[in-house]
Amino acid sequence: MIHTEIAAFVLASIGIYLAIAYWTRTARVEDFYVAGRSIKPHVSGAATAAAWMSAASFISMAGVIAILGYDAVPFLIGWTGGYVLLALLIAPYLRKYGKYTIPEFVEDRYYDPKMRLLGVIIVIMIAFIYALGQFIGIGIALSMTLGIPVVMGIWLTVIVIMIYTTLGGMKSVTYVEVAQYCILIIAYLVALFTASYFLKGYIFPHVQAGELLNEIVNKEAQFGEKTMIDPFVNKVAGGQGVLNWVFTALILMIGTVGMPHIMVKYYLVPSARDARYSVGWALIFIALLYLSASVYAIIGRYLIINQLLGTPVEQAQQIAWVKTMKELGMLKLNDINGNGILDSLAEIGIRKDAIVMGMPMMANLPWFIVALVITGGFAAALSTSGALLLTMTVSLTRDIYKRFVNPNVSEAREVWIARVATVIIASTVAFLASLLYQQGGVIAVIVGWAYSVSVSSLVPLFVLGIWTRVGKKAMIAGAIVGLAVCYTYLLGNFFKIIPPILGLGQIAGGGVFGGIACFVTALIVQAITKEEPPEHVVALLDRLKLPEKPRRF
Amino acid sequence: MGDLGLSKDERETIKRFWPYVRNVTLALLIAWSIFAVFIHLLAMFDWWRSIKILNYPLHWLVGTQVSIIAYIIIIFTYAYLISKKEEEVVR
Repeated sequence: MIHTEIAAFVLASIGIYLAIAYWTRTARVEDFYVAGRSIKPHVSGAATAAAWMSAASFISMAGVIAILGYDAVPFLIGWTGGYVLLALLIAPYLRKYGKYTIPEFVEDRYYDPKMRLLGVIIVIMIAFIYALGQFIGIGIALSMTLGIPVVMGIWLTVIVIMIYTTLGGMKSVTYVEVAQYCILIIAYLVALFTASYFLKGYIFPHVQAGELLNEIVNKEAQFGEKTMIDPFVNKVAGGQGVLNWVFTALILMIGTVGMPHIMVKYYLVPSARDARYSVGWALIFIALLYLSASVYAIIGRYLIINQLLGTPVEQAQQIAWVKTMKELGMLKLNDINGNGILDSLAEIGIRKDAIVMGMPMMANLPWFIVALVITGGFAAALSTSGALLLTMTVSLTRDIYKRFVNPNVSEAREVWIARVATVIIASTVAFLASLLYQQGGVIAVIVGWAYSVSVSSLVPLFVLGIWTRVGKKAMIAGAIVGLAVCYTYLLGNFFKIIPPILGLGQIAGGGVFGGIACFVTALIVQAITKEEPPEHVVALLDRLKLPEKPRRF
Repeated sequence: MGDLGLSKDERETIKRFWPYVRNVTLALLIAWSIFAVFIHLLAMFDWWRSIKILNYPLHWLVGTQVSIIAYIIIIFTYAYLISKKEEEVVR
């Protein structure tokens, strides 16, 4: 690996982000929190796509499909299908409501300042866990590719994000995210199209790679392996089978609706109409990567199977990319039956992150494509981490400091407090990530929990809050019971105290049981208390149903 | 009702607009559920998996490509229908 050249690519991309942030810097509260509500739908869509596609999407998605085959498809449909729910049930209403933060809506809708605190706790719970996973992932990736210590990778990331978020808040973050989206999607598609052209002469691999998939399946069947297209045969997120497959996808979809760093994006556009189209644009931009991930996975798996399966161990160890990946700790060749030949997939231990980062090397592509892919992965991790940090900052500043500590704070001071909060939160996340990076595997599992927590708390708060007249007592009871059931299952299953119920793993089980508990409890308590929201809340809900006057530009 | 109370005209507008929004939302949620859940259950059946389009087994093609494209179509259909109705009602 050519560290200097790769470092030059990464540093050049950082230069671009900082230049954009400086150019869009601001000291206005409305710019800092909601980018002046002036972001066009397609720009907001690109920014949402960048905030959404973390290192997990960019680096791991294709790898997971390459390793688990069809059983990893819940991640593809789960992380895209949620946008339909977001568009139909939440986004336009959030924009019509027109405030700055998620907890602000929760307080107004449930007419109690304590509900705002509950909103802050849930938002920070989800965003903090998610951000921690991002920083650890990026620290490890930078360490492997640039040859720097993991902790240095984490702090380098944090410093870059702190600079561009403190300069202009949501306004800077939005435009930087658009640049990050461009870099990450170009990197991904250039690597995919180049590899498929060099490998098989394909011009449009999405249409042509079916032939490769058949070659893979035939070779795997020949060696008596489960094939890439076999459904419901592998363990996914701790569970197995059709039910686990379906519920993992559903929980990821419903959890998407309650991801706070995505919900806030619908405050940024000028109108509810723009919010509706903005979700569509976001999904188009996300789909460019997600529709390509399975093709990337086919090419990655083909390269591995073709070059390693059935090959003598000695010969395999002479392959250049095998040597490099073994040095980086991404690949282990283990001749389990001792016959000197890699005749089973179990003997080829490859990390899921290695497929995307390593595919250009496996396909013998020029070094600058390897550098481009790593720069793209860095952009993906930075964009999500920045969005999460800003969400936490805004919650702390607006929902705690301005609401409860100093309601009369001046606009200039509020922006400065937000900047200080960004530095404190970013440093705290980086410090914890530096301590926990050796537990990277555990953290990756915990990141998946964010979806279950979202389904068990934030999603019902919004869906019931917008679509029904449920009262605050019912919702408090629902959220508490939902979170309790969710965490009981997550922790119980994680520590092997609770076995998988109905074959459901942690993400699926925590979300299904927690979500059902929350909805059912809220509805039962509502039926018992028959609490009617005050008139101003009923009027607010009615007002969300009003059509908007079309804007004239 | 205070400042937020709706006028008589606004209530009439809601009567003309909201049932349409609710019905479109429900219809599209049903369409979504097909591509989110039900179509993937067909992967349990050999006959479904044996169908090939562009050399891809159908369950693979539906899971990795068709569903995502269907989601995009559903969102834009919703945005178009509601925005059109909104213009019609507000005009």
